[in-house]
Amino acid sequence: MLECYRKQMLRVNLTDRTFGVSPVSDEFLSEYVGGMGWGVKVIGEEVPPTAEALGPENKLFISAGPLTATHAPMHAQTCIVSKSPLTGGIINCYCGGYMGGAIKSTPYDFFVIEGGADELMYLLITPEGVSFVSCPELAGLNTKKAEKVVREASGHPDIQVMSIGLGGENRVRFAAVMSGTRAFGRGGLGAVFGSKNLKAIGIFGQEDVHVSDPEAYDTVVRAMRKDVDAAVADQWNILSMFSKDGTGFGMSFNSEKHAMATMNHLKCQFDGATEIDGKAYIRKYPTRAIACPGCPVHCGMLRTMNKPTRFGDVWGRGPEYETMYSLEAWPKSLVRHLGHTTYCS
Amino acid sequence: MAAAPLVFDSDKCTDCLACEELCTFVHYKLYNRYKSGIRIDVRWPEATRAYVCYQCEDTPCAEACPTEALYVTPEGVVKFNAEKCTNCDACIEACPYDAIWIDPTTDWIIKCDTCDGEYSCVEWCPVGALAIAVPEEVR
Repeated sequence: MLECYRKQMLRVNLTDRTFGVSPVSDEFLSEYVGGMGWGVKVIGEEVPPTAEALGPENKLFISAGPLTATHAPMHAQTCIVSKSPLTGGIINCYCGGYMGGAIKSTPYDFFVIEGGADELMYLLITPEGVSFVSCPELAGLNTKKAEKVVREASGHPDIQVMSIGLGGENRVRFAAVMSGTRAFGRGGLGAVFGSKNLKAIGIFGQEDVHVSDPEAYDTVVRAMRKDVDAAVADQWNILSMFSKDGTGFGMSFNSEKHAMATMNHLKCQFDGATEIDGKAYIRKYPTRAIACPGCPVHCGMLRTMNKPTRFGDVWGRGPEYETMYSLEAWPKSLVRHLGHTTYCS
Repeated sequence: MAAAPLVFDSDKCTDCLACEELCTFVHYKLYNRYKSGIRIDVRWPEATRAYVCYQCEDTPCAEACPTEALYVTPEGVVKFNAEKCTNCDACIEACPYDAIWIDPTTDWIIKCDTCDGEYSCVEWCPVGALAIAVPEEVR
C-alpha cells in the first residue's frame, strides 16, 4: 500500500533561506487524500485564523494528487492551498498542464513554503537540490519572460515553472499564478507569492512514479478510459463539446439562458456572444487542440492568428471560457481578444 | 526485412504525452517520461515532434555497438541487452533520428522495442496521432 507516495515533504523557509525534508506518516497520507485534503489539513493547522493572508505567517502548500502523472485520464492537476487574500478563507486552486508531472517526479509528495524573502527571488527545486536565487532584475517582467529566464538559469530545458507577473508583485488581490499558459486563477494566490517576494518556482525531477498494484490499477484505468472515450465520442456529452470547441463552446448558450457573468458580474447576457465564443475562433483561425498530460478530452486550444495581436504575438493558447466572458464586453475582435488574454497572463 | 515503424501525425497530436506514460508503464510498471521509448517534444507554436526508432533497415545503432549489446532480432527489431552494455554511447551518436537516449536512473540506454510489433502506445493514443506503418508506406 501507498507505494504511489514518496512519504516525504519539503519545507522551505524564505525568510532565512533554509529548507528541510521531513517524513510524512502513512496515516496522514491515507486519511487526507490528494492536494486539497493534505493542503487544508496543513494550512488549517499551521496558519492561525488571525494571520494576515499577505503577511509572512501565511503559507503556500503545493502538491499533486496520487493519480497525477500516471496513465489515468483527466488527472493532471496541480494544487495550491493557502489563505486567500481575496476571501480570507482557505483557498484550494488548481491548474492543468505539465506542472503536476514535474511535482510527482521530484522525491517529495508536497511542498510547504513559509516566511517571506526580503528581496525578489525565485526558487529552484531540481535533482541538484533546492536553491534560492535573488532576482531583483526580474521585477515587472511578465510570466512568459520570467519563465524563460528561470528555465535558462536552471540549466534544465524541461523544467516546469510557476510564476507571477506585475499583478502578483503589486499584490492585486485577484492576481493569478501562471504555469506555462495555465493559471492558478482562484483566490489571488499571485498576491500571496508577491507578498513573499517569490517571483517564480521552478520544479524539475527525473524520479520514477510508482503505483501500489500495477495490474489491478491498469484494469481500473482502462475501464475508466473506456468511459471517457465513450463520452468524448457522444456528441451530446459536455466532454465531446469541450474537445471540439474548447471550454468556450457554451458561451452563447449561457448568454441565451442569462447565465453568463459578464461586465464584472453586472450583466448576465451579452448580445455578441456568438461572434466571440469558442466556435467563432474555430471558424476563423487555424486551431490545434491541446491536452493536459494523459487527458483524452483536449479542451485547450492553440490558435494561430493571421496577423499579430496588439502585443506582438501571433499565437496563443486559449482563451478559455473564463477569459472569454470576463473580457468579452469590449474587445469584439477575436485577434484583440486573444491578445488581451495573452497580455493579461 | 525491417520491422514496421511507427508513424507520427503532428497535426493530430494534442501534446498529452499519454504514449510516454503508457510506454514506461508497459515496460517497467512505473511512470517516468525519461524512460519512455518514444519522446514527445512540445514546441509551441511550432508543430510537435516525436522522437522514436524508425526501424532503419541498415540498423546503424547495432552496427556501431562494439559489444553486441544492441542486436537485431529475426523480425528486424533492434533490441537492447543491458548485460553486454559498456555505456560507450556509440549508438546514441550513430542514430540518425536521435531516437536513443540515456535512462536517468540506471544510465543504460532507452530505445523503442516495438512491444513485439504491437506498439501499445498506438491503441492508447486518444486521437490517433500514432499508427503502425503498413508495408507499402515504409519509406
